[in-house]
Amino acid sequence: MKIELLKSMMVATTALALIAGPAFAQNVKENYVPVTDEMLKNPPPEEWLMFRGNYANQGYSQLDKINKDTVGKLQLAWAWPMAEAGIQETAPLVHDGVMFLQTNNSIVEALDAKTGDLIWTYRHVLTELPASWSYQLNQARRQKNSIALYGDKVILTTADAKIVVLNAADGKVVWEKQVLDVLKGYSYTVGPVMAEGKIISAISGCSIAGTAGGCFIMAHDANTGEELWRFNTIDDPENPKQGESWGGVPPENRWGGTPWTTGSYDPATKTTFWGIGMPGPYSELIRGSGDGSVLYTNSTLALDTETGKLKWYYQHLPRDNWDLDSPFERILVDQEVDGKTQHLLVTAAGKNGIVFALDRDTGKYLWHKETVKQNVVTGIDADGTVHINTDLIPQAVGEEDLICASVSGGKLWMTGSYSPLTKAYYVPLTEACNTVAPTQTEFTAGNAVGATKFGPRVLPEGITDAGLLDAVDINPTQGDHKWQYRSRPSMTSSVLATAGGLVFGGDAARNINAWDQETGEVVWSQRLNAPIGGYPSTYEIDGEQYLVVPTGYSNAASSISSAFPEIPLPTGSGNSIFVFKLPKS
Amino acid sequence: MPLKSISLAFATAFVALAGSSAQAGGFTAEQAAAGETAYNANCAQCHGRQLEGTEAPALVGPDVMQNWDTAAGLFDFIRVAMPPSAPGQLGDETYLNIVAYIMKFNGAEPGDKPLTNDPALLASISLPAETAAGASSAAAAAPAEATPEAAEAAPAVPQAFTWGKQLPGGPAPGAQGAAATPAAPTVPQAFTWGKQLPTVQPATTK
Ligand code: HEC
Repeated sequence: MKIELLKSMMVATTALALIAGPAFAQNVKENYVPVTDEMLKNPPPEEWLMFRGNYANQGYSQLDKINKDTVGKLQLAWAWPMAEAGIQETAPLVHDGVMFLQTNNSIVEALDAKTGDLIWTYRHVLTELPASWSYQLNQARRQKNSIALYGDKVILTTADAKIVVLNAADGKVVWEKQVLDVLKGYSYTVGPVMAEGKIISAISGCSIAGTAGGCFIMAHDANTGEELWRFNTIDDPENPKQGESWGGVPPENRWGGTPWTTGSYDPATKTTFWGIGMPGPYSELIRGSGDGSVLYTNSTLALDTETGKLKWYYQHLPRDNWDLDSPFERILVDQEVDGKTQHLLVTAAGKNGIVFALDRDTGKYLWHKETVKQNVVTGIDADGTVHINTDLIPQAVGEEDLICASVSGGKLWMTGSYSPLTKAYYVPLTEACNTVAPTQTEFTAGNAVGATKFGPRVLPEGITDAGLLDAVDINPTQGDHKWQYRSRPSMTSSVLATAGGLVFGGDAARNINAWDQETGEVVWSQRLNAPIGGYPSTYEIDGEQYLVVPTGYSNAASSISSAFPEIPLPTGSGNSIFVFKLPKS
Repeated sequence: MPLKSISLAFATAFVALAGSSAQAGGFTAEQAAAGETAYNANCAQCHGRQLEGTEAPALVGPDVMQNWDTAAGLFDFIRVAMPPSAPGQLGDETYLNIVAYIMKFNGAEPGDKPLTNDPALLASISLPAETAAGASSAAAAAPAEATPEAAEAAPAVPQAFTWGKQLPGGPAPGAQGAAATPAAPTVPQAFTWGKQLPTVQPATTK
């Protein structure tokens, strides 16, 4: 399946290539093998084709050469400094021997995944913004994850709210489109999921003043860039309950609802699942929404990819007053029970770290399990109704409450993995609390509308370890702790589970660890140059399995480093990737 | 002047008093100078030489000042959490100097009284009021009035003093549109903007 080039663009590209010649030292990947829909549905085990390796967002690899017995022999194959500073949250993709590495400020590099040689670089020229739009400017330095591969193209969503489609072979622009108005505050911080010819993407920046009233999950045609549908997460005229839940606040005074983790996709039902962030302003006192649940903030949305229509929603945290976003990975899990396949959606949905299981066909709540210390959810009824601690809802400007988990998590962008081997969900977490107090703030262009004063992140009382890797046993009727691994430093990377029986992930102390999936024992550890970041992943070339580990500057580490002062963070950013493999036998 | 609404009223009052140094700042020029050095050595690599935020949130702008509310809010945060490589380890004097510098950069005027590690004193220093007052006296001193371009070029002198006039202290004047300075692009405000909301004494943790 090839994406057709628009004729004029083909001409433009060709012309450019002629001018560029060898002077640019840009190489070409000859005979690049296009990524088909079939591959995306059943990714070859040797490759890492999308954000979390498969449509189910499992973060699981079927490769097993690196396993409990061999992991101790891992050696460095090559390393590479990233093209840009900024917070390091990259998810490297690998296809046809090429590693596609996306970096802050919307830069993509193609590297030879075996040798580490650079093939090409695409440096997006971002729209210039006024210096006073500091929150928005910072968005470009905190791009959260990945790009997408489709056909012979690389699809990049940029910090200035564009979709840019590149030729995978040479990094040249095929087409680009301004999706939403960057001067209102829109930006992309997460990559798209490709669903049979559609680019499904979600916009960020919805807590920036100018974006009031609209936060969108959208579909565009992968060939033409034409918009096919959009779904507004904070204004749904087709569901009167949604509007009512804002308690009289009109759309033009609503913010938030940002879907800031790439969604999962179920091709069998043509459904895409996205987690949604917090409402803005953060507290209902300033928001004006009374005791309304402010839909669809902190919810899971199941959208029909053909039409963009909402199939169901489930709200994990109604009436948020503390910036406890619930946008994190929605993982699709199939399990056989009594000869019947159960279709689950499993997620540590929000910053308070509570793991939920839903029936993904209906949205029905199945169970939940707490992980880190949290004080905002007091209980969840059998029908899935979530009750919150109303004592912690500020009644006055300046009223300060101690909230666990903190605005930095608990759970944050760092993504857990599901292993079909053990039927467990491995979730990286931080134990932290902070004070939260509403302020009355005049909003300014390019800046956020939180209107909240946060205290520093501190450990919950009685807890001395900031880091927690929680292995949660998953089945359709309950979730239980298989094991919990605690450490002084906080976890700073996503985790990767493999068929080798291992979970890889890393911490603020710069250690990349491999845990035994069954026992939680650390069976390998290597200290690197900076907090472990991004999304470790794995691939195989010429019969050799590689492990790629991103490192670098970490917001997650910076926000809680006072909890482990004996392990100073580096002051340099260090954004890099390290690629390991086993020695040739 | 612990209450938010009162501090805003104070901002308005202060505009009238601009030029009087008796109540200025809450920090000394020496503290701000020492704070500048300490900030540039320990903070600027992430928060920017212009406090604009490169790897980290910005520390400049009227909304930033409003969110921190008082000098205590800012001090309490940085003396625990910053810088990430040595959190809370620079010593209170240095953290106080850095607060002084951040206030000055945001437009507040130094005065005779030093900033000290006295929770009541720190909680009584309103960041929006002090920085707005400084900006207003600066504007008075340079009647060449901040044009939109000038405002853009000098984000350290935001025109925050105008919004204070519209705020609680009396019934909402219903002229909320005027709250936004004409120079700044008008952006939507919170549903409750301009309304009198209940307030509490600072530092009351349940
Ligand atoms: C290595 C980079 C780095 C250095 C150096 C650093 N900070 Fe930070 N700072 C951060 C990051 C990252 C955050 C945001 C943490 C989070 O998201 O919770 C932050 C947050 C803050 C905040 C809260 C901002 C907000 O809007 O929430 C303040 C205030 C602050 N820093 C002040 C300082 C001061 C003062 C110094 C110097 C003493 C300093 N920082 C040094 C990275 C840094």
